[in-house]
Amino acid sequence: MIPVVAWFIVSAALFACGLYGIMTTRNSVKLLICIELLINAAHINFAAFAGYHQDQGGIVFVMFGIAIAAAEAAVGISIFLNLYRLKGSADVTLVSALKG
Amino acid sequence: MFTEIAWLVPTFPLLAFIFILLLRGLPKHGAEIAISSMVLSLIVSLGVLYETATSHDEPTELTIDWMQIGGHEFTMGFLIDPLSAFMAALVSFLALLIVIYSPAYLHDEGPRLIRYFAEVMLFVAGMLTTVLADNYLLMFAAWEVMGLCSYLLIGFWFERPSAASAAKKAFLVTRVGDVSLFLGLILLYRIFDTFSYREIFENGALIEANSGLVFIASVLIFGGAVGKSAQFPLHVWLPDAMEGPTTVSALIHAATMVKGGVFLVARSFPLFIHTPDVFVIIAVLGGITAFIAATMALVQFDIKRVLAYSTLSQLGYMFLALGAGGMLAAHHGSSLGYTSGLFHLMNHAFFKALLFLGAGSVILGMHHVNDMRQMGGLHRKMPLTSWTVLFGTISIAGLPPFSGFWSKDEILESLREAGHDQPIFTLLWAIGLLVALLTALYMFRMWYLTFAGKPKSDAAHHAHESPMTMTVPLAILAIFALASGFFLFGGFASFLHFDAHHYIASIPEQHAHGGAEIFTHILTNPYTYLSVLLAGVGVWIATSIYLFNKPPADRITLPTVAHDAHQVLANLYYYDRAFMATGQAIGLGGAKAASVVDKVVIDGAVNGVGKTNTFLAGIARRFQTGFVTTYALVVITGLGLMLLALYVGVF
Repeated sequence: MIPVVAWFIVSAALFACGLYGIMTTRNSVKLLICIELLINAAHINFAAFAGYHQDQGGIVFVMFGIAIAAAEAAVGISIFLNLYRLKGSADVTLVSALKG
Repeated sequence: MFTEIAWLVPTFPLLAFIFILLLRGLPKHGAEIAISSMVLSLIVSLGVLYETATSHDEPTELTIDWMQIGGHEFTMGFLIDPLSAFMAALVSFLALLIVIYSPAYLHDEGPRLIRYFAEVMLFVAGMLTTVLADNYLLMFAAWEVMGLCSYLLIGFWFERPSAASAAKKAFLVTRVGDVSLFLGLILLYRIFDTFSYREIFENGALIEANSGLVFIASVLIFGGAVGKSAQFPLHVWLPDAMEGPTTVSALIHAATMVKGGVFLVARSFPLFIHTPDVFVIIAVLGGITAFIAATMALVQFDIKRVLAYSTLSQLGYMFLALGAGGMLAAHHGSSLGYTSGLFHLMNHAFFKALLFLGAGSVILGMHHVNDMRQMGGLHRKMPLTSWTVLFGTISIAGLPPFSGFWSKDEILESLREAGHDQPIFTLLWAIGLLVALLTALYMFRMWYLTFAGKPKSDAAHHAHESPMTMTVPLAILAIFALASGFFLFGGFASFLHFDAHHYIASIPEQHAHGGAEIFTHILTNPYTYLSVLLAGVGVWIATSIYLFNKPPADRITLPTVAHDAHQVLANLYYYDRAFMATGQAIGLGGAKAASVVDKVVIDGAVNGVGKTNTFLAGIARRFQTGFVTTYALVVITGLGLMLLALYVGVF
């Protein structure tokens, strides 16, 4: 077997992509996708541990996580739909009423 | 018997002050209370004087505890010795005469007299306490009370801006002197740990050990006298103080309060003789004052101003006497200067009070006109006033056998004697002689302009003699102006004798001279005749100018030089203006400096805090972009730093 660190590297790389996307995007859909990336990076970590320690708890966690991620993506999309309806564009930089 | 109740002497006027204020609505607005309290004070003080003169016991002290502050105890008490008994009797007597005179002079004041009599009574209480006190602290407190009453009384007609301003000036200028006095007293306390006269004066060892500091303290104490007795350079307030009623001028600024400085120096003699250089300062300032005041009196047209400058000049004489006396006491144990200074104090009190009250009578008769250029011919209209004022004039000019001659002669003699020790006193003696001439000149000028010749205005034409309550005190004082000189032969010198030997053992002891001895000494001394001659010359000049309108030789026709000199004198040597200008510069300068500090420093600090805050906030606010993505960045950055810290091992 390959060392477990390899999976952590993959997970970290994915996490980093997700972070970068969150910090720098203006597109709300891209924001949601990046959040999914973050979540899935954590899932990979859990799955790796589950495989290497023969512990099924990790897989259970992943199951829950996928469900929650789906729910949260639904909520997110509804918020951004409202934003589109209000502002005519889904640009997140339009939400800046707390500026200053 | 009287000595035990001597504390009543200042208490009577103090009670009168309280009662006059409480019992308003009296028919004479407080005059009754004032007069009766003065009579009582006079009786007690004369009794004390008699007992002090006839018994040869040690001076008595009546003391009570006053306050205790941080381990230091202060007492209140009275010292009854020849000097204090003499001053108390003098003050009570003059105050009584003036209080009798006042109601007629201020007859149209009505209920305002309540304030007048209350303030006068408070003043008399203060003056009596000053002279009777047994320690410097009580004396200083009463000194301040006198200054307050002087302010109140000068500003009696406070509706007049000139009076209010003069009152303020008097108070502030004497305050400068008071500050000096207080500093001196503090210094004394630091050295001796007591304010009591007896304890300080008897402590010769401590005085000698700290002679440098004692000298400074002595000069500072004399500074207080300079302020209160209006010597150069703090003489500017006295002429302006004539804005007050003439009775106030008579009581405060001629007969009593301004003598306070002279009294203080006399009282502090035992302290000053250890550092005799103080006496040179005293005499020099006295001499300067005597001279400049006499020259300024020559050109005044307001009758009260002439008398005010005359007072300044005579006070200068008293300080000359005390200065010379201190020298003589320190070097020879002689009491000549001391006694002659106090002798002149008494004589001057009588004839100056007489002159002021006489001037008041004239002013009343002229319906409140002070200007001598409008007077004239009053000798026929107001004979009693005219004769009594003539007595006073002859006395102050120093013509025998009136009192002024004896005391002035004694002063000149003490200056001459002191000149053997310190040459500067010989110069001061010459100045004293010159001032004697000038005094005779300006005083007779005053008398001639006021009473002789023809009336120069309607008011003078319609003048009439004053009522009896005014002329009787004048007559009494005129008798004293003539005769008080003869006290010298009645034991004055042995009564007010300063025993320097008692305080410094190395000084030879000198007994007081008997009356007959003094008399023959004066008559056989050639310099006596010199001073009489100079006085006579002054009278002759005054007579020829002002009575006969024939100037001797070709003087006084005002060519350019004399005119400029006249201008300088009339403008009071520009000293007054310089004084006011300096005061204004300091005051305004200080105010401007304070204003700048307020605007730049204080406002700057306060505003600066605000500006800094705004500036920093302006930087901080850049972080609040309002974008959700920025917040995500911040969160991640914080998380990263925390992980780094954990990794490094901070937590």
